Amino acid sequence: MDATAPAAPRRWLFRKPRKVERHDLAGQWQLMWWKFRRHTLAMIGMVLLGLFVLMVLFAEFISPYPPFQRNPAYIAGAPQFPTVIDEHGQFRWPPFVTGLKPVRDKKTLRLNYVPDASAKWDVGLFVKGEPYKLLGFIPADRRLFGVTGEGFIHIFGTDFTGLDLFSRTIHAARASLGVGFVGVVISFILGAAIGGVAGYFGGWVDNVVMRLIEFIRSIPTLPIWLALAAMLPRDWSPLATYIAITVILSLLGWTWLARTVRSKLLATRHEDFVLAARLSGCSDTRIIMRHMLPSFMSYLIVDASIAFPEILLAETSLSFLGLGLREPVESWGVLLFAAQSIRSIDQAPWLMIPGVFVIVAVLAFNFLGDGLRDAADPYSR
Amino acid sequence: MWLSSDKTGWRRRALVLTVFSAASGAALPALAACPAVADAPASAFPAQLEIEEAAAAGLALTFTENPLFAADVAAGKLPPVKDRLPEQPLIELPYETCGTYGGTIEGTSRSAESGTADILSWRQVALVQIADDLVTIVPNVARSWKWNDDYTAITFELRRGHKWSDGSPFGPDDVVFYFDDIVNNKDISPEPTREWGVNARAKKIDDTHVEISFDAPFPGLLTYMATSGSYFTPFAPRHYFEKLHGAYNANADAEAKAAGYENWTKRFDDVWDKWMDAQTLTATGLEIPTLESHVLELEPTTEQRLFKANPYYFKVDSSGQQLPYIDRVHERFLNADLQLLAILNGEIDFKAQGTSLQNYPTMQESTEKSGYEILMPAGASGPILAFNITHKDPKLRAIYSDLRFRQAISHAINREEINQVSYFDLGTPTQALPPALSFSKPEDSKYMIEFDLDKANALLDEMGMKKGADGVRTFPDGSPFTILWEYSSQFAAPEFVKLMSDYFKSVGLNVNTKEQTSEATRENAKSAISDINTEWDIPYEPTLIADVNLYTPYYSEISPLFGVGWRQWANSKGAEGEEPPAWAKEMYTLADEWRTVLPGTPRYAEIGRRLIDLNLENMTIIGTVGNIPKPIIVKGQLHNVKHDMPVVHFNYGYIYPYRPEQWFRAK
Amino acid sequence: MTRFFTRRLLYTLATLLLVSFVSFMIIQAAPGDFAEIYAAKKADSGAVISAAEIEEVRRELGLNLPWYAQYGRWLKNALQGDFGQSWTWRRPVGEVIGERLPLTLTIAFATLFFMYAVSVPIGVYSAVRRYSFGDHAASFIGYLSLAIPNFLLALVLMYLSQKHFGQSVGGLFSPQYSLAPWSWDKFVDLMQHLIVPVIVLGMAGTAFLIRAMRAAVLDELDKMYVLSAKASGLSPMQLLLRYPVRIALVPIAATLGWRLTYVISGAPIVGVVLSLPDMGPLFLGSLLNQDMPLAGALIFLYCALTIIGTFLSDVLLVALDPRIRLE
Repeated sequence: MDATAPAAPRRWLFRKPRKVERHDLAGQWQLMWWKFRRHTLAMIGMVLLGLFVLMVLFAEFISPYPPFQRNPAYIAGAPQFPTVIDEHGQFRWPPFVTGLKPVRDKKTLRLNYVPDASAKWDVGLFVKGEPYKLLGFIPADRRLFGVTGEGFIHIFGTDFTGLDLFSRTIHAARASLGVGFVGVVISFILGAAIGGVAGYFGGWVDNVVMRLIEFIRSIPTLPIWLALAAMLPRDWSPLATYIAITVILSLLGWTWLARTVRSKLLATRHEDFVLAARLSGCSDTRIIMRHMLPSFMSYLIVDASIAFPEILLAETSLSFLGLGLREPVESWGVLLFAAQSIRSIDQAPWLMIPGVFVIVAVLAFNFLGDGLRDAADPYSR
Repeated sequence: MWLSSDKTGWRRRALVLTVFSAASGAALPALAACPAVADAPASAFPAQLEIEEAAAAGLALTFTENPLFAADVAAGKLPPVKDRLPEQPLIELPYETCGTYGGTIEGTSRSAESGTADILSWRQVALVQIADDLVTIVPNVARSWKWNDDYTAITFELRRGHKWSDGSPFGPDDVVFYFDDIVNNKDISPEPTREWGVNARAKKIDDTHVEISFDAPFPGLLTYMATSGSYFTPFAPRHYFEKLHGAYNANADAEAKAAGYENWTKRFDDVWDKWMDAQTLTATGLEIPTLESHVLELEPTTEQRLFKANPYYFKVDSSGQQLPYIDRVHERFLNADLQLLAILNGEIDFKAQGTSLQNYPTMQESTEKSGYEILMPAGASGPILAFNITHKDPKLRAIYSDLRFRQAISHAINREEINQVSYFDLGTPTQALPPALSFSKPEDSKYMIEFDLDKANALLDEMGMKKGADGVRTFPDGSPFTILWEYSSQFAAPEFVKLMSDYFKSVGLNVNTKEQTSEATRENAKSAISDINTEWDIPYEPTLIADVNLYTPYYSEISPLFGVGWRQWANSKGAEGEEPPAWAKEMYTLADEWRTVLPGTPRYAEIGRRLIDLNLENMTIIGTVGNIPKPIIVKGQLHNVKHDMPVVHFNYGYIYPYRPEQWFRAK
Repeated sequence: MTRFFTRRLLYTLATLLLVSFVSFMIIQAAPGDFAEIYAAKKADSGAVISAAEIEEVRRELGLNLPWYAQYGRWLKNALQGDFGQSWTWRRPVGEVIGERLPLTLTIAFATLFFMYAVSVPIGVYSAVRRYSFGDHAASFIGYLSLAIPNFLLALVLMYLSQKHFGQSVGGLFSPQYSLAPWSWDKFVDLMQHLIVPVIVLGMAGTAFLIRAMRAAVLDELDKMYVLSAKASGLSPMQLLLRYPVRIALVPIAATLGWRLTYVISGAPIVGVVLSLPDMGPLFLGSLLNQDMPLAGALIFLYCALTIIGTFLSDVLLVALDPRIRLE
């Protein structure tokens, strides 16, 4: 690692004892946070994730329309942009979107929405919309933004039946991130348990588990996922399918965690602090749970943050192929499933916007994972 | 229009092998070399001549062939063209002009089994054909026919010297073999077939005449053979299938075992298929001779099939050139999106089946760049849906077989909106009804199509399907009710399904939708486990003349809507299946009688009228939007394509009535 | 070495056996009664299939046997290359797959070649010019490639190449070449068609390799021998290529098999989106149509390819780097 490392002790001999610094007294997690904070990309990732969490919690508030409310007056309509400059270049407040009226192209039969400068639909914040229950129980009807009078606003456009893509994309974060989150939790539990058993008992148990892990790693994930997803009974409800898909995705995802747990357990087995704990008469369970596990928890979190985007991408792919989630469950993959035809790409390319959310979410997790990995590694600079 | 001199120049490319003048008398007025449809000489049937008619009209025919075969003829592998053509070839008048030989037409289907009927229709033959007016029955493989007085027997005259694509003679024996040894052989067809008439059988009269007879009158037989029956021809190459058949080959069983089959019937089943296009799915298709315009040339793969002109094809153009002009037909298997991209890219010469109106704007924008044209004939009548009245699950069955439920659905559908959203406002909101029937009333198509949610809700309330606190209706016993709608995008566009589910939800019906393949949808429909089945077409009248059962449960043979068990019951006279309700029984009785009455008679109209009423009163199938045009892609280089086709539809054999064997490519 | 080789080989064979079992179980676990589906597929519409006939089908397919006997039967036939008859294609499964396998492998190896050809120079460059604009750009693109779902990229590239380059998409040949004998033009046509699938399939793997290569070269650059070589006046380029790059390449090259696993795993979805005549669309179709004999054989094949890839990797690793301890 560090080319100058062997020389260090000698240098230290001739140095004055230094002042006790803040970081000498800080705990492991405190140190990690300090280090993490300096990682710009990781911080960006964390902010993005924060936004996603808000999106998940307050989807109803953020979206101007309920996700299944069709707007028959705007079928396959392009994204609308609020503006404060009118057609004469004059400033106008409040912001507005220009009114649109449908005109069918005689030759191509395409329904175009042409701007109608005489109609200006005012856009405001915290406008009254369809009633909903905030966080599932607080009745509310204010929405983050929307048109205050007549008209409509679809900042991501609408699909071929007139559903508001922005509202759907926001709502879909729940299912998409939910699969990732639950999938990671299941993988985590499986990985910690199986890896723990292998690492603690060692011997033939360890051997069997290691062979199993190697086996799972050597088989291609996507084909197996596809096959398992195709086996789900046809009449399962979307919710049951959702849960099953999550479980299927985590079935192959636990191996990384298990390997980390095992190797760390093996490595720390002979550490002084474990020996100390054992000498003071701690039980095995207590040693593992109170002493060994916390000592390498940070590595597990890193692994989990890496597993998350993998599961997210897997869900998206499965749904895209029509073997994953399906309506009325809405995930980004489900939305993309509807966007995949050439007709969509040609006539309504904005239907691909949920793909951008997938990319951003994966990037956020990758950034975060990198930051965590650096922060968790005591030897890195 | 007579052929101009520069067009005769084209013919010089063809190898002139023999000169045969049908009109020996020089007294007749000389006719120009290639009369087209517009200048047709007098003939019994439109746009085609028999050899005698050509002689009478003074048409001098010089039989020439595609240069593609010249080498084989020179090498002695193929006999000269006059020996390959029947003594009495069918003379076909071109739509535009006599063409030039050569070229490949590029086509595409989704997979070997899904939607290849389109490409089959380019090379199809049957005993008789329907003319492009979609009314007149005209000769094709058969030269003429004669009914007996009570329509229980028909004699076909075949063409003297007609040959299979391997050069073996085709004749009455091949028809007799088809009936005696295939459809009436208990080992191969355990169930008696009804499609050619009740207990249909064949008898050879002489070398060119064969009689098909049945127990009950069947005046619609010719219409059937010419339209929806054209996919299954009532003849099979006897000399080829005899080798596989236990009745002719004592070693058939042993040979089948050696080839890995359990017995000869299994092997026969595998090789023979009533669907003519299915016979070319595998390499055995290379061996099975055919009368079609193109024969399989290479072993089919999972990517493509290639067909080559049939050197023994029995038609010539009005100048004596043997048809077809096109050397090869190339079919690539592409998914729907790639088909569209291939069309946009100008790679596809012709495509009728599976082109979606939804893609019209996208396709229209590339017409100039890629040199194709979009024709918009009438297509299928528009999407209909049927709830599975005979569902395997008794609880669901109780709901779906309740008339009020189906009527409620009909009132819950906003047909105007579907027309706007999915069909560019080109269709007409309608109840499910065969289009343009001679015996229907204008109000039939408007039966219960008003969009009326109150009425729909009232009907469902009356059934006892109470709404819960969440506004969702339950079974009358209070257990949760969900419609599982598995659809294939081939039969129902995703938006259509989305809109419909919205309508269902608006009256409190929970629905769970899932897309699947056409094959899976068909399997589910056949096993009566699907909740909703959708169809694209209710047949046109000529098709109903042939088979009115397409307007009684189960409506479609390949993709039944409901009532598979009922139909079994009716077909087996109560021995198998399940007993249908009185109204369905009446339908089956009427349908049986309909087959025996002559079209156009008062009884014919009376039965038809009653069938409409029974279907409407029982809301068997629910219509949405009708009269939807069908976009058809034609590349500019393709000539002799009829541009004003009235209808292009599966029931008419797609492009078959418009004579694709005379297409040719301009250089 | 021989001992190591034999052990890995035995282990690989055992894994293959296990995979064959998993494939078999997946076929078995498919919903719906095998025999009824089979009977429905065999029956011409309208024909009545009696219970007795379904029973016969069941006997014929060996469905009345206990599962281990069925597995034995399946494995025995599979070993002889007989995976049964595909229901949708009505042809032997082996034959159907045989048509697709060469192209699957062509795409996989072309992708591997692409991945290494692109990532090695970029990785070296990034390491040598650490924190330069190029390094940052490479790592940004790397992050992005790991985040873009490959089907999305496939879709967009497919559309763009058709719309703006008039490139015929889908399959590996334009229609005029698909039946033509091999020629230079046909080869060029093939290469043009390979661009999109190779980029899509190789994207994430390339990003990963660039990172690995960069890190490995960086590790070497920090070592003392580099300093000493520099001090003794070796030209920087010569030095770089002769030592650090060569040493860094060893572990990267050795993961070839794992990269193959990765490519094979991602292949179905790309194949489906681009409708490549490889095993992808065949696989998805078989799953959707419940063509279980075909689906089972394909799962087995996908797994077998990656297991063999892993085996090659292990052997390669030991062969290239003798320092690795032979267990």
